[in-house]
Amino acid sequence: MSDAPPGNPADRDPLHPGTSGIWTFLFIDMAVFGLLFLVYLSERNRLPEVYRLGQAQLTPLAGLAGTLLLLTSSWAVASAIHALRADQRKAATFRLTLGIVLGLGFVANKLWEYHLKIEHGIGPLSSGFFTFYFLITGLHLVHLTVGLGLIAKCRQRLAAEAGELSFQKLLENVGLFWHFVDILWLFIFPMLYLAGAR
Amino acid sequence: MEESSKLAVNRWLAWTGPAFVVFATLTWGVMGHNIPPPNMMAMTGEQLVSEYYGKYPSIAPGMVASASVGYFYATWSALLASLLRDENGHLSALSLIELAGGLLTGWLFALCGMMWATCAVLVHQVDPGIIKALHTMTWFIFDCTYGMTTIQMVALGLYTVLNKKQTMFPAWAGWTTIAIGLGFIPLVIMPFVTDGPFTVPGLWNFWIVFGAWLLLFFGVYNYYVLKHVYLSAEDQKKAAGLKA
Repeated sequence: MSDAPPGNPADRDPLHPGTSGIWTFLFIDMAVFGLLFLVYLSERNRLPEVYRLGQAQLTPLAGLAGTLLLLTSSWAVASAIHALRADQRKAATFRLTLGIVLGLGFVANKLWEYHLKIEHGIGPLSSGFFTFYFLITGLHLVHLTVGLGLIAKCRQRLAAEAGELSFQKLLENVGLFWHFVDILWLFIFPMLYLAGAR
Repeated sequence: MEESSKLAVNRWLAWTGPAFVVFATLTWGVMGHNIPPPNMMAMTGEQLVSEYYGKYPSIAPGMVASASVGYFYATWSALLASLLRDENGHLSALSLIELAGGLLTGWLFALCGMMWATCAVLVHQVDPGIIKALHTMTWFIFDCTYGMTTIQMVALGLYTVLNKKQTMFPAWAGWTTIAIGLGFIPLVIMPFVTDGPFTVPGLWNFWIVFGAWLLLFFGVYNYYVLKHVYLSAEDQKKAAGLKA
């Protein structure tokens, strides 16, 4: 099945970023997260005080650090794709490595935040807000971990497959997924940490 | 079996999908007063008896009937599995996972229906606390074993997305199915909350999860399965991406 040529001609166009499959997946994943965000907002509207108290127990600086780490990681992966297109393999490898390191930084930051919460006796069942906090950030973390694994796999294969269109498409797909993870966080951070917290 | 008989059998089986939707809605949903179900985690046993089981005499027959309807889901899932073949006509692990998930989901629907029927029949004979315990346990089983349905949906979605030779189902339907299957995960929060979107009748765990499952997974695949089985045998082979 995996050896079959892609059905959409745009999938073989080097100027068309990624393949149709990843765009479809991202659209649907975005819709799922969008629904989750809407449910969160409706609950926050229903119980403003519970959510305000929950938000006050978060550390916005940790969220900001995560944002900067993820944005920089996304930039590194995007510039790795540009380097690959220009056949600069060493630069592409370095930038992918940088993307992974920064992504791991985000993971460490998030785990540290979870640790602080659990240490203070706060868990997913502490309040409606924290159910959403752990669910949304947990699902985002799962996406991020998958993305890191995919970037690591691409980095490993880069030296041998850099000249092939299929590899370029693969890396573009991974890059699009990584941007999506980044964009999700740009919604999650203000929604959970900032809006209505003070 | 002759080709015409095979086509006829598949067409009958394809209609067990829509039949499941209609009869499950009528029996489990309308007669069982489950649109939405009561939030038992926020109710005492006495409240569950007076406001639900003791109030609606249609629950017992509705649940017994829904148990029979559950098997329609199994037959539809079996037909679907038979369509998920590789280019040589062989079933794959994904087909078998889809089948296993569909059978288990059908069985779960039937089993839980009978457990709720037990509560409805015994409502005035046993302690309300026992009614609540059995009712709650049944909902825990029904919701928290979502993994059976999720594996069915993910396997079906992966087949749809990865088998680029088949034209029975569009890729978007495959991705949507995977996303909805994974969207069941918050069901595990249900045993621990008494209020909000993750309770049994909550916005996420009932309206969004069941709504998306019914309309965007079951509705969509029902449509494409029905469309497929009414093609000629030759066109069905082409649509399934089978070698001539």
